[in-house]
Amino acid sequence: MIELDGFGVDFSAFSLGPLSLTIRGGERVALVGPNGAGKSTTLKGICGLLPDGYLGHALVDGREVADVGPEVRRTVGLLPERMLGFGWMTVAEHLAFLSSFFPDWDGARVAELLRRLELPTDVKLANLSKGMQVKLSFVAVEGSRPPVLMLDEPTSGIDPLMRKEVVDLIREAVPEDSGRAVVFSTHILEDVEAVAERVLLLRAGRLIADTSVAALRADGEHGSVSEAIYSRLTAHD
Amino acid sequence: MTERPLRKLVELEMRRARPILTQTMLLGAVVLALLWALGWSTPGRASFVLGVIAVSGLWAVPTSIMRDKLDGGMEFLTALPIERTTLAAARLLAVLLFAVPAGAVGVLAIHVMYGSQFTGLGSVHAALVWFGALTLGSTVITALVVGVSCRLEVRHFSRLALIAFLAFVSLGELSDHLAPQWKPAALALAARPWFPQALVAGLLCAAALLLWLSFHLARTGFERYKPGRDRITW
Repeated sequence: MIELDGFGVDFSAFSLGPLSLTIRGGERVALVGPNGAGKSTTLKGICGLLPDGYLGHALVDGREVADVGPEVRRTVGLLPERMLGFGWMTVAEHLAFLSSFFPDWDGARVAELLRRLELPTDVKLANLSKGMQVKLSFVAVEGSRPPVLMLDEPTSGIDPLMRKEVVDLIREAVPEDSGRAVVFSTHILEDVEAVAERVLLLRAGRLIADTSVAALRADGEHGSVSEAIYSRLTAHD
Repeated sequence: MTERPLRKLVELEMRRARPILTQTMLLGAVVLALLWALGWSTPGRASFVLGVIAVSGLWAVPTSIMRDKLDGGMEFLTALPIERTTLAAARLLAVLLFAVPAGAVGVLAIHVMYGSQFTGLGSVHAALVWFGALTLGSTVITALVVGVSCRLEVRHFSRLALIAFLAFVSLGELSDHLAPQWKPAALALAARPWFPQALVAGLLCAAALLLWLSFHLARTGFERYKPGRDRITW
């Protein structure tokens, strides 16, 4: 589904990679690392959203992202770190606008998500709280039903109750036998165990571990998955 | 380039311009009514108010680009699954749609100001020629502003304004200096029988070239846009 081969970027102040890995349908992958580790850059690169391109190869369904162009975003849906849209539009107008760009827009799924996430449709985007923005971004990305979901910190800034709802929705959106895949970045280590089976640990632009939640859980030295992740991230200091 | 996204993007521009157009037209109508009621109405004043209404409509699209760069709208648009050519084409189509009513208001303003003896507006043919010329001229100028606004970062605008001002002043000085030499030659050229047709053909070619340049600038502006560089927040 997604293949990275020597993928990376080389900016003057930051470099990422080279990353080489494969993500298959049905996988739920957590991308974990401190601020500036390269999580958002990786997600944006796979979505073809790096204006200066990337090094190496990023393939989605066997096609190079750079060659596919913006159309790749019909296959790979991104929930960005910061909500994108026009502040003067209401939630309903924003979703209606987006639906014009996705031929497979699923209006019934959008209505269901709006109800479950208790999102009012008549509020302007500029007046949404951070949590509401995250929720709307999730609805927007799920509306187009892309085969791959890229979620950049989908549970940040929302209250614990709603966080559980979002975690459940992510699990529900990508069942193991669905053929869909989700890659999500997070700083909330509890969410890793709640959602993912596979964990990629990034630090300073380098992939320091590509492991599974089961392997982290089985690591006898640490009391929990969160502690095992923390230990591996800090082991390189 | 698919039709539905293009239509949606043009509709977006129309909708964004609606408040400023409505406000300007209402304000213009109030000012015209006041001028008439107070007995201060002159052709010059009425024509000026009509001109302001026409120009405000034309500026709706370029100003929306600057706003998009500041409030994250550009980031949103460039993240949509559509080619940059569609984004650029939508802006220029919106420019054309706004230029049509602006051209009509412009003809009205000229008529109010000068009457039929100068414009020849007594005939429908002359009115149509003026309408076509004003619409095309305003489309080209506004499209160029749209292209430059897309291509340049907001922080470069002040530098561009300074360069444009210096170029304008320098060209004025230069033409004043050269006028005694080229004026007789220009008058002789204008007296040739083929001159009007050649002038129109030349202006149409220049308009086509400038429209192509505007489209190129807008497309590459969307392609090279770096998210967050000009953004303030909302």
